[in-house]
Amino acid sequence: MASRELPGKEAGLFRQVVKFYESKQYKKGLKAADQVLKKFPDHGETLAMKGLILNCQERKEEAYEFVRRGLKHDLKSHVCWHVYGLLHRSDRNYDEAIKCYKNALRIDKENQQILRDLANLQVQIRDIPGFVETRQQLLAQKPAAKVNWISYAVAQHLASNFELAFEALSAYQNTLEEVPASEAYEHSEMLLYKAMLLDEGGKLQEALDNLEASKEQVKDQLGLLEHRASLLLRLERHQDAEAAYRHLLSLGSDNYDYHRGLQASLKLLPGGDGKWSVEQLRALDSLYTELQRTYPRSNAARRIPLDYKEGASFESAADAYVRPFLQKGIPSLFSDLKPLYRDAAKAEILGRVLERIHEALLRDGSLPSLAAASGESSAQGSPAFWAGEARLWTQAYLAQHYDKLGRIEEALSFMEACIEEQPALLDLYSVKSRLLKHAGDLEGASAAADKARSMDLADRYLNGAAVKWLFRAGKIEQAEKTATLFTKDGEQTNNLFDMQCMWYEVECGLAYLRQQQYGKALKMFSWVSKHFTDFTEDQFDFHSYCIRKMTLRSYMHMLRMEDGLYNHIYFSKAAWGAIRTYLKLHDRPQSATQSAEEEESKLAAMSAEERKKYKQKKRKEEQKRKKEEEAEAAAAREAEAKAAKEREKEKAGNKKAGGAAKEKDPDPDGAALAKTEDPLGKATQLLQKLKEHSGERLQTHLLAFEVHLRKGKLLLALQAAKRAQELAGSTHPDVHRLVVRWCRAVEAMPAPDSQVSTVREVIDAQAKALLGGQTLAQVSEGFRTDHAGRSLRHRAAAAEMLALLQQQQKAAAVALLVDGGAGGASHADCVEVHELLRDTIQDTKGAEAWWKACQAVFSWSAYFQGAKRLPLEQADKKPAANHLAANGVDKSLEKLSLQDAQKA
Amino acid sequence: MVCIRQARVQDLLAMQNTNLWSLPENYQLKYYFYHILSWPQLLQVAEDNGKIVGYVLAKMEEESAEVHGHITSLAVARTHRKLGIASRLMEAAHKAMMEVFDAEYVSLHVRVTNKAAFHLYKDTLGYKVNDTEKKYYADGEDAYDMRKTFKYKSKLAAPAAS
Repeated sequence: MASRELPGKEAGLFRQVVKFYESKQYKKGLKAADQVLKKFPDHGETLAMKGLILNCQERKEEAYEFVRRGLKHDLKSHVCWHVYGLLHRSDRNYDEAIKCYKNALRIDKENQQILRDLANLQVQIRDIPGFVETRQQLLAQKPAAKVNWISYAVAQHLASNFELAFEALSAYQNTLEEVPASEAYEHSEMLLYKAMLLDEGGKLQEALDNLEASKEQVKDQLGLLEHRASLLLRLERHQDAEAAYRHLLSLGSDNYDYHRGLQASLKLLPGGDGKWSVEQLRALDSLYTELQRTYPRSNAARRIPLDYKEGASFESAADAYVRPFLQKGIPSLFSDLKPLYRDAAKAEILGRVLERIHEALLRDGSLPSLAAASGESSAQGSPAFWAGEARLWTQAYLAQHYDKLGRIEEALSFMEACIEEQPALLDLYSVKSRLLKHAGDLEGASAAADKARSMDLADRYLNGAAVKWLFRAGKIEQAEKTATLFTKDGEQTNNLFDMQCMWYEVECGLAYLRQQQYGKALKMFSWVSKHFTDFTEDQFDFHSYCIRKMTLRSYMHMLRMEDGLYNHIYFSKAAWGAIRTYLKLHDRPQSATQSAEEEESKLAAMSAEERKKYKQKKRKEEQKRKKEEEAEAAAAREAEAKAAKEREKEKAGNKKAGGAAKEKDPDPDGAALAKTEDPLGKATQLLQKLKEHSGERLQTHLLAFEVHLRKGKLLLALQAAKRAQELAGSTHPDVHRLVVRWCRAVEAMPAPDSQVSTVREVIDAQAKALLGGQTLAQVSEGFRTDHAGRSLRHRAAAAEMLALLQQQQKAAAVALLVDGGAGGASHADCVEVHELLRDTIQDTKGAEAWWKACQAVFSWSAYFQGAKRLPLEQADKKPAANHLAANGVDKSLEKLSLQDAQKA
Repeated sequence: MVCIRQARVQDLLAMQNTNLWSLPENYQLKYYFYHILSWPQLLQVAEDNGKIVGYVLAKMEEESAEVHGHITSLAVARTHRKLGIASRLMEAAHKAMMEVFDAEYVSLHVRVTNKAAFHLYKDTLGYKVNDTEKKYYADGEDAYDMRKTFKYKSKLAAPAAS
């Protein structure tokens, strides 16, 4: 092992290396390091430092090589270990980095810098006991430093030692003399943080006393008032709480938290059943009459009564509430009232109120008198001025109202009337596109959204909506091109990726998945995943920043937000999408060698004509699949070659690559991702995160079941089915499917051999318990009799399981589906049933009959080729020729836009 | 039911999403973190049934001689126009700048072609044009540098505890 001591000249050079590294003068740093290494090629610390600098120049492989070599030559150097830790840290290998720092600290126990680095990593990975210990050491070593006291308090807070945390802050505070004006804000934040500590430690009264005592020094008076009000409420000092919330309302009368607080302090919140008592309702009425008078500008004061009022009282309040929205043409009225639709009676009343207004506007050109005398004046200004506007927005509301109730025909006819009247009002097309989507006309929806976009090219919302509907309609290329209009460098995906535009990536990924472009789909989903990794990393700099800034309340909230980060719906959506893609990848090779028997029975059921068509279709599919596979393989090869080239470049020490140069994605189309040997393994990794963070979402467990069943992990599949059952109840159609499929998989297991396996015993026992003493067929029949009548989804589950369990009952299953008709069901569910009949049950005639029934119900549907969809399209296509065409046909969009443009 | 309130860390991803749906100027999440972890009182949101439909992202310029606030970004979803959300968000941010940070004035940039926003700042909120910055935006458009000087009245007082 070489000596660590360097002679004078080289020792000076080494100090320079460190200095250059710290001041980011990497070139000079490397030069100095090389000068030392020329004379002492085995000097460990210099080798390590050189590696660290190379790392900053994005020369990763060399960096590791040098640092490891340095370490090998000087295992007893804390510098080498620290540097190795920094390297791991920069690659987010937190656990490895911590090990290295600890090794360094074994050699140099009191090194403050390394201790600080260690503490930051410990809080980053939430090693709370470790964090507390390290902060304790730092505090013991340097009790004079303010940050050490604050950090120690935060550490104890995270460990739920509220008292220790509070004491540390108080001890520090006692050493303070006058607080300079320049630090008033920081001091104020600390005082408020102390109250937070007391509160979370359960000392509500002390928290309140503390706030009162520090009132004069607190800058964030609003924060103080909010906290104080909440404490008073929880201390059940109702009168004081009422006064506090009334005061807050005077500062922000549209803050719903304050309204809730006031209601709570007056004991006016609904009971456990979500209902109010008669006395409560009376008190609420007088409270809100008063608040409306005090805050005439407050929308909340007028809107909240609609939540608790019912019947005639609700009707007159709603009538008065909607009028100014209609007169001013405020587009968000429906979104505002949507939550009220959970109550069917209120939905009906709202329809009545709006219909009445609509009639009066048509008949008299003015609003009707209010439903009940509420003393409020009716319209202001000359009726002629706003009547037309009001009629338009009333119709727009009614369109959304009927859409919400599933009465799509009426909804669309109102919408058409609006557009005819005001073809230049682009918001109408936005509404129309949502209605058409619900009606099943994805192309029409995307055409309407694009129409709105074309009317105001500078509006990003309209652009985004158009992009979203284009993705839904399967027009991926056009969607991508449209999005580019709003990205700076023209290279759209990069910019959207840099800006973490996750809605786009999720939509795009799902669109690719629907078109069976699995690599690209996985790429999009992986980007969302990457953002979440970055969001986690984002915390790092703030561990020390917030201590300096003293924004400790926000800091704690940030840590908690990060702890629950993966519960975010975008992560779930992307992970579900990726898992579904991996399932497809897993299933794909088998579908090619689908058992000949199945194929034969399918063909036997067809007429000669159908057989011919079917064979043609199969051939085409096969060709397409082959082509895709070839393309994917080629892309994967290319991606690998590119990656190799990049590595070569790095090795060659390409100078340009250093520093800010952006890394090129070696696999832009995800070909390498789609080539995975173990799709189920990849899916399992994602499931792990989902189960941990979004176990409350049914979809997580439905997908977990699919993955585990395919892996033959029956116990895990059972666990998923049980979780789904807990969440959705055993009568949920999807849950029923899981239970039946699981039991069937158990029955299909080979009989246990002489060796009795405990796993097998557990499985058999569980199956018995699930079936509750019945046979599988009985369970399925029970579900059919008891629940099939509840909804189309229930019926579909019952029919599917019947056909699955008893081949000979296929006709009965088909009849169950077809005879029930499509009335009352959603378009999406009807499409699913059609696919079920066609692909799973494989009954062409049944599928056809269902399709025809749906065609009559969904006259706007593209999928069912409804009579009213895209009028220009109809002549081109005979129904039933190819139902799969729902997403194809690019030309129709252009035609429709043209037609609309002419109309306008 | 549009609720106007101070933003919480939990809102940041939704604010970023609203920004991406509304404006061409976008920021990574870390920038939102930076704002809320520096000046938590200056971020305000409008929420409709749990959905963020508007926000203001603001900061303090601490290096400058005169303490002043700056509006980094303001957006209201197109679906929620005409409700006065933007001015209420701005007013809340202004108030916090004055009360919490003793700001002398607040500044912002606006595209010279953005008439609706200009009208809001100038006529509704009392901003004045301080300067025009050439080619301020990435696409080459100029910006008005606008300012509003705060007038201090009596301080906000808490009711006496009983």
